[in-house]
Amino acid sequence: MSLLLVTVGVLVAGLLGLLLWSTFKKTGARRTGKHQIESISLHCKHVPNLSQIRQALDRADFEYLTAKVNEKAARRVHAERRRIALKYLAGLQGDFEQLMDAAQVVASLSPQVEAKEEWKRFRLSVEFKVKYQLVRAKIAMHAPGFHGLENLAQLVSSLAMNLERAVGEIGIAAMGPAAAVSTKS
Amino acid sequence: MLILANIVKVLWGCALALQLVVFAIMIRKKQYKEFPTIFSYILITLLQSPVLYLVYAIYGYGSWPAYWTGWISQGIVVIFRWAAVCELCHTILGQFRGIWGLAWRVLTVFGALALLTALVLGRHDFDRLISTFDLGLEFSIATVMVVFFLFARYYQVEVETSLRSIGVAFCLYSCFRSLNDIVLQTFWRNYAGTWSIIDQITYVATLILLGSAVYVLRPQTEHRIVLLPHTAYTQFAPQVNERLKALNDRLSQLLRSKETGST
Repeated sequence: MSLLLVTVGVLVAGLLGLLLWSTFKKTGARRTGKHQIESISLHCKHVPNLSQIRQALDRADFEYLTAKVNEKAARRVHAERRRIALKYLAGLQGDFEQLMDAAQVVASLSPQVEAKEEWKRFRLSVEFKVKYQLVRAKIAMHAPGFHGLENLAQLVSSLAMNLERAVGEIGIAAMGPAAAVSTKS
Repeated sequence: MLILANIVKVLWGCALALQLVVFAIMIRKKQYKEFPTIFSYILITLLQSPVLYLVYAIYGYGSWPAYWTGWISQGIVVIFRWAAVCELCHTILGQFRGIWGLAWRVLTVFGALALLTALVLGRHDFDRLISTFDLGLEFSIATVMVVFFLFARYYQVEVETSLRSIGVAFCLYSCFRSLNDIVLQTFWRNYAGTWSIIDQITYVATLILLGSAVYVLRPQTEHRIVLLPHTAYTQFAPQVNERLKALNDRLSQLLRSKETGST
């Protein structure tokens, strides 16, 4: 078999794989038009659990526990901490995806988009996904402290708050100038 | 050899019948108004058959006039299919003015890159040059369709099932034809007969998918997209990007810190 045949075969197989993946619907309903703006949810599900997670991953608590209990129990607690951290990280990622979806919807419904901004967002979201997997792998190997996760959580929720404000403004703008005046008055 | 020729004849008849069915559905549903290029593509493929049949009958299947008529008419058909793919992309994304402006540029770049790649990879001797061009155009159509679907998915644009089926039909046909072309280039004369059969089988499958899609296709005027004011995007996009950058920086710190790894 020639190299040419193999190369083109691999390229076409790649195209077919991408075609299959791209034509499957993403989970969750996809709507078009202004209903999409109404359906944007920027509620960060991880925020209400922040204090419990802080407690679960508290370093002092863990040090106290390991000093008091036997090795087997300490190992169990260590594994439990890791499991909690991974679940929490997955929750953060879910919230991040939701925010990205909101950004994509706004871009798709805009009459003009900046190629530079779109490319930047695409690049940054790919970078996020790669780094997220690396952090996940790191946590899977060692149970984490709370500090790093808390920083991430704060960042995701502040992003949500900013976007929520922007979506509110967009909603008013989408209703037209009359709505904007009546909201201001 | 006689069996192969008979199989090709049967498949040719099936393809012709299916082309007529698709053509009739499009006329009955007046889809030539909404999809003039897709309609023209079907019409051109319909016209190709009697022309080829006439040339084969006069000069013989293996003659040079038959060879050139076959490839030139195929070139015209592929160009019309290209135009049909562009029309399909515009029908789906055209209403989203902002991202369409970006999409057509991206699709042009990817289409050109795919065409160039295939032209470079293909054989360049006199006999196979036309087949290399065919490979390039088909590979380019397949790439554009895949990139288009990825684009629509990324921006969460809902693609109506029947329009998606038309896109998938074009893409699958181009993918299989590219593969078929490359096998033909490698094995040349020994594969020519099988090439025709495989091409006809994939074409018949494409027409079945295309026919069922146009049969269930609803008029496009039903969905109108209401766009947001431009200021919404100019406020929103830089803010999201800035935050994403901060988020990535924080992830990098988390990766570097010893704190994550310690208990």
